[in-house]
Amino acid sequence: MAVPLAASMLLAACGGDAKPGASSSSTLTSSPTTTAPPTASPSTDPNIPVAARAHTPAGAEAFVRYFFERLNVAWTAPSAGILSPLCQPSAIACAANEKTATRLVSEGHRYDGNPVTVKVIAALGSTSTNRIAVLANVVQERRSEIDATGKTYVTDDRKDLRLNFELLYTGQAWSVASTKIMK
Amino acid sequence: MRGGKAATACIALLVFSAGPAAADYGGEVAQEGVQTSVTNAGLDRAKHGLDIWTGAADKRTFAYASVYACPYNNPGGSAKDVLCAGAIQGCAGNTPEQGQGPLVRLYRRELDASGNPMGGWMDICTSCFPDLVPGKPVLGLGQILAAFHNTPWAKPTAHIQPKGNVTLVTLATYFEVNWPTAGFQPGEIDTVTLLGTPVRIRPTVQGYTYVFGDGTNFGPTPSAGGAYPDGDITHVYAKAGIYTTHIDITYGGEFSIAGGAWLPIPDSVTVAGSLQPLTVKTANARLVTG
Repeated sequence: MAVPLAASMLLAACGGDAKPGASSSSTLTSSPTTTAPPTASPSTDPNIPVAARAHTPAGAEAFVRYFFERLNVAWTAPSAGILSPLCQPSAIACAANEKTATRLVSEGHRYDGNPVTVKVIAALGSTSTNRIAVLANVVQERRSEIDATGKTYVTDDRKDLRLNFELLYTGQAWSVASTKIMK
Repeated sequence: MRGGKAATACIALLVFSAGPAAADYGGEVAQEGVQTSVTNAGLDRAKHGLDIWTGAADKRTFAYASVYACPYNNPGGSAKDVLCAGAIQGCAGNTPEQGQGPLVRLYRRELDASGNPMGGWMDICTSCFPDLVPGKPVLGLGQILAAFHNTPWAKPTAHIQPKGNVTLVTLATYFEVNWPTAGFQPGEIDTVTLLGTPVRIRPTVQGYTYVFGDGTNFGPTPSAGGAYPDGDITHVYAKAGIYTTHIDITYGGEFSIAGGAWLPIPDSVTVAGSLQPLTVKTANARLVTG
């Protein structure tokens, strides 16, 4: 379904004037981009698989795959409170996903099938010691939001999405710092 | 961001006002923003010493470097600049105007009046135009796709049973893919050199289409058919005649740069198979005493 949201502001930002710093050839250290220190999520999900906790590109890929598994649960079960522990408080899209899960629970609605199917997950490289970009090619499936009687409220369009996840390593696990559509 | 537009930013952050409650995963992600790679216009500005984003004159002098947007790749790093699936998928499906990748990460560092670096490499953006980045050109997918299309493909021929390319009306006729020695068939590796780098291209099968010559086709199918009695591609002709048959193939492919991992080529090529005439005769039942 079309997003009934009105764009109100367009900000542009890029790293062209980032402060200089040293580059390194060591793993997960490709950029001196100035970033805030890692912030542990309020309560890190204890169920994050071991493979998805590894401070490696493969671990980051496993984490993004786990994120989508949890998103599908959050909207189909539905279940509130399972996405927030995977994200930084500043992650706007993640907060919106969590808000939807919370609304579905409170209204007694659910999705009639997994909203997202993963096609490709691939690490793109690190932008600082504790940050890494991960590509996610996913399909937003054509699914409906229904109530307990099966009545349909909204139906989402099927869309192919190419996403850039910026992950932050908090020392315990990966955490979603941002999610952007790649164009 | 599309090529040709005046790119001024690599990351555009869209902030939306709150509206009626709606799910839509893609819509919720859109609230966080859109990340676009720098266009060919921006890269051209950098090459001419202008600000990569605004095009304004810049008195500073920069050195540029680029690597494929993959884990462990760094400018000046000791490790080889390896290509990964993410860099391919990051630009896959784009038109040439959008940049077909692979996705590269562009770095720069300021130089002093003597040309010495004043600091370390700074990650400034990503781009789907690897062949246009300032500094050392990186092999682009466009060049690899061109080499893929220029592959001397093997043309499959149809092996038909009954033998002799003669069959009967109402009889199941078996079709099987046969390969000539000429050209590159699935699995055979063609090696080309692009920008001084050896690139291996390995054709794969996306599907065969069996053209029976009587107006009917079967496929695309991954099956290469087979011989009697186990072959799974058969056809029954309803009328006698001479039919021109062929098996067409749609090739996919994989590529490998400088001995690196095999990665899928996001494109395909359909090649018509060699023509095979098939005579279909009518069988007349005849009682024989003896």
